[in-house]
Amino acid sequence: MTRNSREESAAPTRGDALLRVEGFSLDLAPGREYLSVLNDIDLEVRSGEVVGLVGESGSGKSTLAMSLMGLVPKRISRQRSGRILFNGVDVTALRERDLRAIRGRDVGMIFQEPMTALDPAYRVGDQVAEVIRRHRGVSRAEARAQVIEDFRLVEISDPERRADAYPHELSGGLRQRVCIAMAIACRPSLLIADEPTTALDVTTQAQILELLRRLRAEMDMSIVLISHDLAVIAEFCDRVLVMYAGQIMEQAMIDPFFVRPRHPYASALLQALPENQPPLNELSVLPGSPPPLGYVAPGCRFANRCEFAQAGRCDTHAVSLSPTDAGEVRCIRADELVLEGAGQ
Amino acid sequence: MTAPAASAPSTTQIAQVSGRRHRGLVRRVLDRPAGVVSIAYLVLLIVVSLIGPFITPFDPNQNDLRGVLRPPGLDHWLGTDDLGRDVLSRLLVAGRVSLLATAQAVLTGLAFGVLPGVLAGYIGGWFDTIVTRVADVLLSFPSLFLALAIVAILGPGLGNAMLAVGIAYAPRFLRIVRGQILFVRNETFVEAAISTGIPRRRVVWAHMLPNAWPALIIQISFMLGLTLIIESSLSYLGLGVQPPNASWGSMIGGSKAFIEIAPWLVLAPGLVIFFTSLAFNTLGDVLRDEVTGGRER
Repeated sequence: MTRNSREESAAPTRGDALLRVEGFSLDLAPGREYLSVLNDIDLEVRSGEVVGLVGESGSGKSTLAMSLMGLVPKRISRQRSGRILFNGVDVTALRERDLRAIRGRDVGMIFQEPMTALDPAYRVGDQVAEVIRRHRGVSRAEARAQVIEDFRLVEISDPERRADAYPHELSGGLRQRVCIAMAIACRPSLLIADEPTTALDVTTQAQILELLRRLRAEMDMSIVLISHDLAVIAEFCDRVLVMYAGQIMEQAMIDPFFVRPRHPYASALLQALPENQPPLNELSVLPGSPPPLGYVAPGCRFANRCEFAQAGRCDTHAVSLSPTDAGEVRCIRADELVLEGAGQ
Repeated sequence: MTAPAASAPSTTQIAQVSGRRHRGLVRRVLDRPAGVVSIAYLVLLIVVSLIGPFITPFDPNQNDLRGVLRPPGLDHWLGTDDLGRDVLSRLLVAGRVSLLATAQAVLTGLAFGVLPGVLAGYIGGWFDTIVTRVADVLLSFPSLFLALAIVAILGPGLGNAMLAVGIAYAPRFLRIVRGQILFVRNETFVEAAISTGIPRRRVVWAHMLPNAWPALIIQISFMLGLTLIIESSLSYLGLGVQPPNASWGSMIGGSKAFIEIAPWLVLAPGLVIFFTSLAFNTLGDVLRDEVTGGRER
């Protein structure tokens, strides 16, 4: 009896994975035609793990994050393959009503722009309370008490008064704290943070990251952190996924990744970090620009910008992910190349 | 331990400053002389119209053929008309008719305009195209002309006339609401609200529409002023309120033959219409200034 039920509950989650994306491909139609935006995405987030997602603008990071919560409007999107398993349930097959139950309760999301992520028409405390009341069905007073407690948790000073403030009365850092309070109000097991510090100044960035780190430890959350800042990723994540043109190019544990990246693109990104360059020299940059949305190449998508690309090998057939000691890489020359990491 | 205590005074100060700058809209409007005067006038007018029928010095429809066309005096403060009826009494009762009709037209416009506007802005696509086209066609008719046409079909009467005016107004409200919804549709807070599990329908009504209210309120204020004029025009032409009842417009219309010998008959309702319309428009101006923040201190 016990064994049965344990097996049943354990089977769909496949061990420790809280979130598993398997072969997920998505097309978007911003205009009239569908463009391939995400291609064969595989990823896994174990419980308590912090996974970083890096890539240039337009690489599909945010679309992937939205897909995880079923937030990509069905009207303009078309899923080509794959599934997204959250706690063993395929999110892509859920109806809107069931998705709503997960959103905010099991998965929280923080957005890039704290300036616009709060409704200007309401007091911030009421906005957080709305989420609590919707998922917990508690009274107004209980929700309010919970809001004050959550504001304390995200280190907002004078929470009673701040709860009565309108968004325009708060600074960017405070607003982001309110957004975090809203995202964690129902103690989700997964937090998706889409560039949570990009719009903030450096000091505030550090404080927000520190706060996220503390919350993650206290609440045992998994976090998917989307960023284009490798320094932030290095400091904060256990594992990193590098995206390029809608594909995952490399996936690795954080320490090996920084010492020895396996994909030329990952290596180029690390090389471009200002910290890794001799002082007073011109900063090295990755030549070329990222491909437009919907870019499909016969071979490796990075080949035309890659200094190691070999004609006839890299540009003929699509490359699949192959395992490495620290993760996976999408490069046919991965075993031949010894690439530079983040120095020192 | 000391850090929070040290930071407390500075945060308090910031909140006070911003609190002063961002008081409620009503407070800010009342701080402006034009705002407080127009609101005071309109409130007074509404109160008088509500209690008007109970405080009239004379029966407004009582003829007194021995005392026709009396000039304003101690007995009849605003004089009497061609049938000897007390002008002040008629003005008080007519105010209720005029204001109710005005409100009816604007509410009709809101009822027909807001929902399609929200849906057109939110759904977009072909639905938006159709709704916007229909609205554009309606908008190309002058409100008064459309009202005249509908009254010609349905027969004279204030209810029909105001229904017609209201339908003619719907496109204006529709366009404003649609524009505001389009404006906030892609804001992060909408996405953020959906990401917390709030149903989309509620996000639209509770998070998107409230952001359209400021623009809508400004428009309502202007439309109230405009409707009052249209109502007066229709009643002046005899297509609105039917005798023996009166609205301000019909009082002018009924007295136009005596304008040279008894100008007070036209002046009294005329001035009330003028000031009321002015008050609505001034209020609209003040609201617009305060909402858009266009007026620098």
